[in-house]
Amino acid sequence: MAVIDVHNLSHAYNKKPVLKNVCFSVEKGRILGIIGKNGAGKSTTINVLNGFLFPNSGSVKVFGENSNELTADTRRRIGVLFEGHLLHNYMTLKEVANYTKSFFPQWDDETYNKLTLRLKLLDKQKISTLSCGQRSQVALALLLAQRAELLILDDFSMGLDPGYRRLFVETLKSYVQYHNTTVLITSHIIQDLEYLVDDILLLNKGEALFNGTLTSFMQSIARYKVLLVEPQVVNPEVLWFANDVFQVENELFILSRLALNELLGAFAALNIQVTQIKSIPMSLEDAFIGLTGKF
Amino acid sequence: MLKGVFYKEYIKTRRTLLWMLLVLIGATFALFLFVNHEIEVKQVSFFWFQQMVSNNLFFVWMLPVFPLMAAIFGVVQFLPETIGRRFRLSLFMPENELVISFSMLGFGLLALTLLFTLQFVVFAVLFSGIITLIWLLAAAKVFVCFWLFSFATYLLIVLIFIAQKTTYRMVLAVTALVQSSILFIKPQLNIFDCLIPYAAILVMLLFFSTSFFIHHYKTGSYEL
Repeated sequence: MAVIDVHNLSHAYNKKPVLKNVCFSVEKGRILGIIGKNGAGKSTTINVLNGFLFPNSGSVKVFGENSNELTADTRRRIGVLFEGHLLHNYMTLKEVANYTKSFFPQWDDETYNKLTLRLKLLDKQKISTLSCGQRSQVALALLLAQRAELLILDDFSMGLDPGYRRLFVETLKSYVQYHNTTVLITSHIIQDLEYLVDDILLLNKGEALFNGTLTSFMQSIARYKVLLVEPQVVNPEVLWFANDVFQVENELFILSRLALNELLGAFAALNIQVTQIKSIPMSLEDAFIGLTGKF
Repeated sequence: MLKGVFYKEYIKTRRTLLWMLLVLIGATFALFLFVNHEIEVKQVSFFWFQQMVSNNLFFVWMLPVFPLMAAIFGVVQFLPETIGRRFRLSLFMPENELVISFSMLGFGLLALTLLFTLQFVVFAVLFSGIITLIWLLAAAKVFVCFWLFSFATYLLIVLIFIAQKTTYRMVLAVTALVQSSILFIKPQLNIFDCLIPYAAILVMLLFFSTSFFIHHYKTGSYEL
């Protein structure tokens, strides 16, 4: 049985659809990254999964229970990181740990202390006095110490500098690998997800544009460097096969779903003479831009 | 679980509770000094005669302090929950949402009751040498009535914070204003006999409607 099973999920705000028949599932021990532009429906999906939003239609099950009717026992198996590393700001580090601990019998003091001590934070320090990066580490420490089987992280990278982002991702990655934890994660910093996720769900305007493994996602599009015979301005609109085009003098950088030999044929059909086309390394972010566009 | 909720509420409100207690006890001492001064000037019999004739109460001026404190307590307890929608953090804890919401409200009502009871104990001790038992019981009745209205004020403030629609907030704010008209009633003793059951029903209604709002905050009847 899948840990998360979403079937035909649809939701609208004031009749404006934000999710349209979205289907996906997350198996035990897998890490699913939900990516999409602003307003693609990522946070709505998370809110539905957490039970904070009742969907217009579709079925959303977490550990086999409807997401808006999760029992306390099931919720004890789920750790949630709310957008912006939401914490009770008026508490000290010790107080927030004591408070959270009282709800989770399997609470792991060692994990919590290990993560907070490395930042040299004091027990008496108030959460409101922490920097955004430090707060993210405390939120992560609270989350991991719960020993949850499923972690749901909504935009964990929000407001974090590269150092703290890397620290967050590395800590999370080593923890979930060791404990075989299932994770559902969203972030606007797509390069972080590349290092972390097994599967990708790409949302675009409320629809699931892609749902599969990271490898297949990366194979669904390729990045090419095209060397033109002579310098000429190529109208991007005529390149029907290119999802994204960027030109520097006589070099064209394009993202396309076509294979290399198909691309050669496509350029020939358009009477654009090229000296060389070669495939160049592509990041997850490139693939994301290629599939969804820049704006 | 209940321990966890109470612990969180205690952390939020401990300082407020302390200074509220100091203010209430200070006000009671001030009242005691005022009555002593009046008795010294007007003599004991004349002071009480004046109170009986006017059908008035010598502690009338301190009564609005109770609903005011209840309102402040509601703000202190629920404002941090609504900033940045932190209420979601509380409600996602692994416990039934109604248990969490009842516990939060229960903590508030219990803290206010303890606070007001302590004030009344101080009042009773200070005035035991001045007023008769009948007067003390009459005072207790008035205090209880104002406590109940204070609880209603507290619940209305909580409702204003957790209602997620401006229309609801407006309606609740108007209700709070209407309810506060109790402060302008000339506190004659016989009025409070009929006001106590009314206030008790109001508190019950508000308690359950607040829980309803909290429950729906979580289950998504309101879109966040």
